[in-house]
Amino acid sequence: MRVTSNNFPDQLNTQLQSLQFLLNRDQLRIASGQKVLAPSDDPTNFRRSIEAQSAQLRIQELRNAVIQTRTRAENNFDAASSLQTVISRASELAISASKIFTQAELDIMANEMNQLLEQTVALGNRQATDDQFLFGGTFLRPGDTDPVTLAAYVPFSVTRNAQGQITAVTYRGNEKVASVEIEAGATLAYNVIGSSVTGTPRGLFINGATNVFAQLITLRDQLFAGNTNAVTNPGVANLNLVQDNVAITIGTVSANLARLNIAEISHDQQLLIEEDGLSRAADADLAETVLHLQRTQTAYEAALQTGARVLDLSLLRFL
Amino acid sequence: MPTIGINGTLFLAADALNAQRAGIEITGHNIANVNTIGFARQRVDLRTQTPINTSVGQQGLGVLALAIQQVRSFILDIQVPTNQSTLSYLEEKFDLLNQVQANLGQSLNRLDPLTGSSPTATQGGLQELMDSFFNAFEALATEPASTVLRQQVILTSQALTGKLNTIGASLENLQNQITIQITQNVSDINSTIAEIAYLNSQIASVEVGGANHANDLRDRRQQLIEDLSKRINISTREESDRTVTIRLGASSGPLLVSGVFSGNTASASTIKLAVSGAASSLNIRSWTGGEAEIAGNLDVVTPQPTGGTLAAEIEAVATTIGDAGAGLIRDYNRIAAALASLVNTQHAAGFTLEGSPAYATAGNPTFFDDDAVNGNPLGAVTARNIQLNSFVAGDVSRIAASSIIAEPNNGSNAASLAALRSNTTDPSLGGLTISGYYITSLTSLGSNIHDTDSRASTQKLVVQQLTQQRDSVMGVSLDEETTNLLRFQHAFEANARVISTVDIMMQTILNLGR
Repeated sequence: MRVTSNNFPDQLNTQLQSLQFLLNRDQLRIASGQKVLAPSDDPTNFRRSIEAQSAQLRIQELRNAVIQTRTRAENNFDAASSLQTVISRASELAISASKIFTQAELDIMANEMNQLLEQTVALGNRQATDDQFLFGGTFLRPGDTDPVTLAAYVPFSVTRNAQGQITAVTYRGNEKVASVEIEAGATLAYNVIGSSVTGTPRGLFINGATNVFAQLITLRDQLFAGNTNAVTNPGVANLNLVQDNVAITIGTVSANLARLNIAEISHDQQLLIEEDGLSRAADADLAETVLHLQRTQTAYEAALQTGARVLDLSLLRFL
Repeated sequence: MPTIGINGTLFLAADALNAQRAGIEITGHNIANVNTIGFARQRVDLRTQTPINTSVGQQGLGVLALAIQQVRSFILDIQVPTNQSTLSYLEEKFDLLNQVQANLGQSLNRLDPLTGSSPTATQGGLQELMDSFFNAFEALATEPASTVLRQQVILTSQALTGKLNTIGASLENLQNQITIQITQNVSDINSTIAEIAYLNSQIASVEVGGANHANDLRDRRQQLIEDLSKRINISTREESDRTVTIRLGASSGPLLVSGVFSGNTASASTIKLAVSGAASSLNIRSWTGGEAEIAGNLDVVTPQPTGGTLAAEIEAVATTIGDAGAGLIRDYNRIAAALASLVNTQHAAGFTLEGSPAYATAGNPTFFDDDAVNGNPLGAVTARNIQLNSFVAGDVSRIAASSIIAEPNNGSNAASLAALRSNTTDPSLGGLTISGYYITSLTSLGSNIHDTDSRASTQKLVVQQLTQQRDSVMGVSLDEETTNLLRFQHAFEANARVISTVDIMMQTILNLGR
């Protein structure tokens, strides 16, 4: 084929353009660590990558929900454990009441029982770290006020006598259990309600006929009245029923915590799997890319050298 | 019979000098145009003069510069523009699609991915913002009374609608810009066609009778035909009167140039191009040459251009970006409308933090402004106009996160809103989720760009090979021209020597008489 004067520069331009494109692409891949940046780079892998990234964000959000729910469950566990301690102490007092004969000593015990009651009400109105009431169901929130009395709503509002002693405790919350999605399509009923009329779902402080406040008020009043027989029987037996109810709730909360731990581990593993898939689809193989860059760079230098040499030659130089 | 004699020899040498000088002139012309695009090298056609019969036999009378001819391949002259038209179409399409892709702003960022903490419309692509939007509802479901998380829902909603607004506006702007480009392109095509018709008349008048060749005019015409083919697909045919007939598309397509006529001259057979129609139905129309250029006289050109930059531009405006067919504006409008419809319906089923039903809020019952429900002054929901309802945005407690009245700690409706990410019920999305529809639209564009790039690369090789082949025939080689220059120079010197020898001979003869 006849070669004309413009063949060399034209072809050299084309070759240099092509090599510069490859150099640019390799440099971008190395700098970003990605072989796929835009949909047009590799539509299939871009789709996989964007879907994997979306899945990662979703899993991350579920993981956040698990962490948040676990905090609540731990709060529930802590409050229920404290309640268990309160009831244990109340039981000790009730059992020991049979051995004490003086009213002064019984009054001391009654005062302690009253403090246990106050503590129990405080536990019932405890707020979680996110300021939500732990045992108000889905109804109450901090800051709510009674539209009639304008008093601040709390899950357990109390009625006091002239001496300031609690005479009745009323539940203001509802019996609804809130659920949260902890895995795609799987929810967990995370909150413990304070009171349940039917026992389903279970109430921690009041569950059907089992009422920790009523028991503590009765025991306190009987201690003040010196009615030690009633304190011992049926007082102790009733406290045992309350204790059983709290123990079951603690068991439920513990099971929730265990499930939340498993869910968190599962999310971590899923994140790793998605990351692996995302990396395969989108990340550049650095070793391969650097090698390719090296090869292209060599070709580019060779093209420049040979181009410069050929372009410099002309018959005119020899005439 | 005598020979040509000493004077005859003098004339012979003088003619030869002229012929070699012509050779040098043409070589100079070739060297001068070594870098002129479209120039075909020229050659002097040297022939021996008609001999005469002498007593010693036939005697030659030297050389004659018969004609100046250009060297070109007429087959390649047809093949190059035909293939160039396809290449220009693909390259223009690739460029425009890349611009569209850039306007969508969806890339993959592995080093600094959007975390969803506080996204704005300028961060990340639509996918990340949709994820953040649904994840904000997911988070709210765990703490439905949280003001912070409710604010997060507002922020992510505004970021998402802001992004959709930006994309909608960008696509419409791009559509307008390309339409302006199309108008300019059509104007340039009409000018080129007129110039080719004018060159047809020039070439025909020079070459009438066949004695002369309008070499440089032919170069110019060929170059214009190639320029034209980059803008629009054409077929060409050289007629016996040396004019070129140009048709749009195949050899049976509408006439653009016929003889000395184009759409700019009064001829019922040739057309002048124009562009008309709404963006989604933009097409090429025409007036018949000489017809009054008013809208009423416009006819749709059949077939429409399928090659060159013009076809790529029309395709980008009407099909790729368009709001009809499978256009991107249509896709994004569907995404916006489906998002508004699904979210509004679910939101309306819930209750606010204060315990009110979402629908009970003062005349602004929807989460996104929705024409179908509360008379959005902007009309039906589109990517361009989707916006968060100002009543909801004004007070985070108006987000209906609860599914039961007067249960502020119930986040079931927020969970249901988050679950809309998996909803496939919107009929306009063809059984896909909003995100799935978006990714399908996006990767379809990506595949289109990828495929166009691949086809353009292949077509580029074809055009390069054809151009190279044609250059090997018509291109100028400086070495070759230098050699020719020396050859003609030496021949010129030798002929000059003949003249000086004849001169000496004549002097000798004249001195004989002294």
